[in-house]
Parts: sequence; structure tokens; C-alpha cells
Amino acid sequence: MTILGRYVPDGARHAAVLLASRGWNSLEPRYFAVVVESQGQSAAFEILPQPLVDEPLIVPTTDVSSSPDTRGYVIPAAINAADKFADDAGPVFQVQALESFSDVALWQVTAKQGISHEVVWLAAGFNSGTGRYVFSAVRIASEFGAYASCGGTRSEPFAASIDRKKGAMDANLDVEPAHQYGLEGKLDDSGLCPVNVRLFWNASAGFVREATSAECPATTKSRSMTISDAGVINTAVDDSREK
Amino acid sequence: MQRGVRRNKSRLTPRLFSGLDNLARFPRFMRTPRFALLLAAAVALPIAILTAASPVIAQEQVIPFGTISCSSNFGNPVLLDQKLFRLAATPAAEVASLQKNRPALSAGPFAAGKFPYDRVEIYVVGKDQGENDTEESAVSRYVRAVRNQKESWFSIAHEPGDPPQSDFFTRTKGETSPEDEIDRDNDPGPAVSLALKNGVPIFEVSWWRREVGASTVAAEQKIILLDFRTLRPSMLSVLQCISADGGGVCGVYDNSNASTTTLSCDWDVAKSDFLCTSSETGDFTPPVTHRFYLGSGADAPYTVKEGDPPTLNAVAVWSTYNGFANSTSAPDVPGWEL
Repeated sequence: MTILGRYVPDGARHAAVLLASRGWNSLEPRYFAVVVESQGQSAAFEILPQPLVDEPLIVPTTDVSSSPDTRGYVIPAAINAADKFADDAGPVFQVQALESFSDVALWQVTAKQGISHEVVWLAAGFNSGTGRYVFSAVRIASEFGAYASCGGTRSEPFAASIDRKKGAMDANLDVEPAHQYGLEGKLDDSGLCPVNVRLFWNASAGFVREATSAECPATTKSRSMTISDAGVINTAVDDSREK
Repeated sequence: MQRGVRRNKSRLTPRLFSGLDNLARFPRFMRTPRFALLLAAAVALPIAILTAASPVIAQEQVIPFGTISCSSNFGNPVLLDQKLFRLAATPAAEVASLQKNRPALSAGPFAAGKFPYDRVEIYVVGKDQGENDTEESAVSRYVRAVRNQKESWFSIAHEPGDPPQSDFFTRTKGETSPEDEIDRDNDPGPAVSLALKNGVPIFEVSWWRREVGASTVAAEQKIILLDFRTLRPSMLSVLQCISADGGGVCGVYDNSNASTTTLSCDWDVAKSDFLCTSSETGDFTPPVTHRFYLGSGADAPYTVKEGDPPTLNAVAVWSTYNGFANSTSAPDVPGWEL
């Protein structure tokens, strides 16, 4: 369990602590937020990172004092003290503060587990209108592939380039869609076009994604990427197509 | 007394053998009420009562008392749904037939005054599958429990479910482990033993089956633990240890994405239950272990290390008041411990 950061809204008598841990059901890390009240009471939530271009998940809502808006990707944190990892190959997290305002703070988290990395934008805000915290995360890029079928894997959509407006919770991203890779690790799909995604903050719902089609001439090539330990996303044309 | 068998590092699933080829081999008539009539009639027919000179039958790998080790691959579970199995009173017609035979295991007396039954005897009955299948037999288990010189007979009933009774209670003659060839000339039969050496009336009955699919082969061990510590005896647990090979990545069962579950248990004297750790491994599976008690099913939480916060909430509270924030590492929390 790693503490990533802390967010205290202006004038608030409570704080939000952001934490991360190794993945439980999948290899990807997990992200958490705990709201700590002045009397020492606390409520813990898991923040599910949104993919850049997939449909949102449907998650249950909760009604806990000072709890975040749960219409999005925040669920009550589940922990079972009877569980344990069999090895000590836990992830390492690096945190970079990107923005800090009175009503919201944004961090870039780079997680490394084994040889795989991921970059996640993690944000904590407080909606003074509703009196509730808002937690939200977006998976910007990930080397943790998912198993597809027939020995193949599926990559996640990633931001090939990011144009972030400094001093604002607003960014335009050039997003490469998810790709399928065959048993030999070669690209196994075609005709998938990049997507332009505008990512901005909504005080009630957290990150909002607006996707628009990008230019996609017939010569458009698929892209793959790698992530450095420092969280730098390096993009390259993927010529590994299956014959 | 030695305990017998088993339980090897297995690899495969019952699901794997629920395919069409399996349906053809094992018609589902055994799941119908008609099966009860057939079984009642069968006890009057020539059947093989599997007895042994020694109370323990089998096999090559002796394991210590008070331990359980079982593993299943290809995504198969180790623990089966206990609700599908129960101990029921044996019909009088079957009892009359069984009384002529020797039990596979006779145990008792048990710790005086501690347990309700003075003596418990396990009978294992094998019934041939007919002319079309000379390699397998159906396994039936009966228990005679004596209390104050009065006997009660129990048999294991199976509710419809997965795995079907016809799959679970079938054994391959001469099959004893994933490593060894089937030796029908030296068929040791099911293994029956006391699970503990300290006179606690918990019994283990196990047998093997070899399953052959279109592109897979598996050695499956079935284990049932019978608990006679109370007047109303119960099934402590039902396990399957499946060691499968073959298959591929593009079949109905995709073995490249299937995890292996390994169960390891030791008797916990204080809790009077087996304390188990179930671990899952696989290329796409984090190596999570879960600790619990086998009989009660209750979780067995790991203790908090001295000086560490016990919960995620406590970590957050401590970080708020003790300046942990922004540190690159934090204490282990039970449930997220490495």
C-alpha cells in the first residue's frame, strides 16, 4: 500500500488521502481514496481508472457522509484481511503533481510492476455545492495488456500525444485505440482510426471525455508505445502486422 | 496407521470434461429419481465391496495426518459446493446387504465422552458400469456409526448440480496418480483413512478418475471429508484435485489463460478445524492467497504487524496526523500485504 498524496479543500475540516496498491483481480494497480473527518472517522473508496475511449462502467452508488459522487468510477473499497500476495513483486509508484486548485488537484501517477508500466491521471476535488468529494482517474497509457483469446492479447487505448492547458483541468489527447495482438505478438487488426479526446473536469462527475474522430486517411498506420520508468510515453509506428 | 495417497500438483477442470464427448460417455440418468431405484436394486446384485486388510487402502505417496494438499489446473476449482453433498440415512434394504461385508475402515473407540459415536465404520462399494465400460466403476460410500450399541447407517447423497453425481462418484480402476500408468491388475480401490491421528472421528475417502477428452487428458482425485464429531454427522468438505494436460489456446477451454488453484491445509487444534491457504497462479493472475477454515468456511485474517495500521482507513488517518503523506512507501495492511 502506497500513499500517493493528500487533498484538503479550502476551509474543510476533512481531508482526502489517495493511495495505491498492487492489482488484485488483474495485473493493473488499484487506486484508493480515504476521506478522513476531523473526528477521525473515515470512509474508503476505490477509484477505477477510466479508459480513454471505452464505454463507462456501471457501478453501484453509496450514500456515506462526505462520500464522493459515485455516479462514475468510484466504489466502496473492499479489503479482506485473510488475503495476501504470495510474492513480494509489488508495484512502485511515482507521483507528479500537475495541478492544484482550491476545488481540485491533479496528479500523474506512473506505476511500474515487473517490466510493465502505466500512466494514470488521478484527481481529487470537492464540490462545495453538494458537499461531496469527487474522485476520478483516467488511464492515459498502459503496458499491462489483457488476455484476449487464442493466446492473443489486447492493448489499451493510449494517449500518443497530450496537449494539456496549464492552469486548467483541460487537455486534448491524440488517442490510439485498443489493438489486438496475435499469438506471436504481432498486430492482428486493421482499419482502426485514432480518436481526438478532450479531457476536462466536471465538479460533480470528475473527468469527462469528449471523443471526436481524427483524420484517418487510408495510409494511417497503427501505433504502439512504451512507457519509461519516469512515465514518458514513447510512440512508434507498429509494423508488426500478422501476415 | 498410515494415510494414503495423493494429491498431486494437478492441472485441469471439470468444465473441460463437460463437453459433448463426456455427455456421450456418461448419460445423465444417474441424476434422475430413477437412479435411486436402480441403486436400491443394485445392492441386491453382485457388487464389489471394497475392503482391505489394512484400514487404509493405497498408495504411493504417504502424507502426514492432519494435512490436506490439493491442486487443480485449467481454472478448475479445488473446493466443490458442499451444499450438493449430504449424509443421509441409508435405506434398510441397502443396510441388509452391507452388513454381510467388512468395512474398509473401522475406527474407535474415540476420546471417551467427547464424541457421540463409539465406533465408526466406512464401507466403500464399487459397482461396474456395465459391458460398455469395463474401465470404470461407480463408487458408493456408506458409514455405520455405533452409539451405545445402537447402530446408524449413513450414505452420501448428491443433489443435482455441477459436477453431476455420475461424474464425481465414478472412478477409473487402477488409476492412482497423475504420474503413474493405469494398472488395472493392481487396483488398490478408493483410499479410506482417518484424517487425524489423535482419535478425532474425521474421515477421508478418496478415489481417482482418468478423463480423456478430444485433446486433453486428466487425472482427477476426488476427496470427501466426513465429520462424525457430532450426533448429526456432516460433510466437512468435498475436494477435487485435477491434473490435466493437453488442450490449446483456441479450443473451448483456453488453457493459456487458465489459472491453477492450490489448496494447503493443516489441522488447527485450537479451532478444531483445518486452517487452509488457497493460492492462485497463472500468467494473467496476480498470485493472491486466501486463508480460511475448511469446515466453517470462515476467513482467517492475517494479523497486523506490530506498529502497523490495521486497515486502509487507519493508514489514511495516520498519514493525515503523522505526516506519512507523500512518502513512497507505507506500512503493510492485512489484505494488501506482500
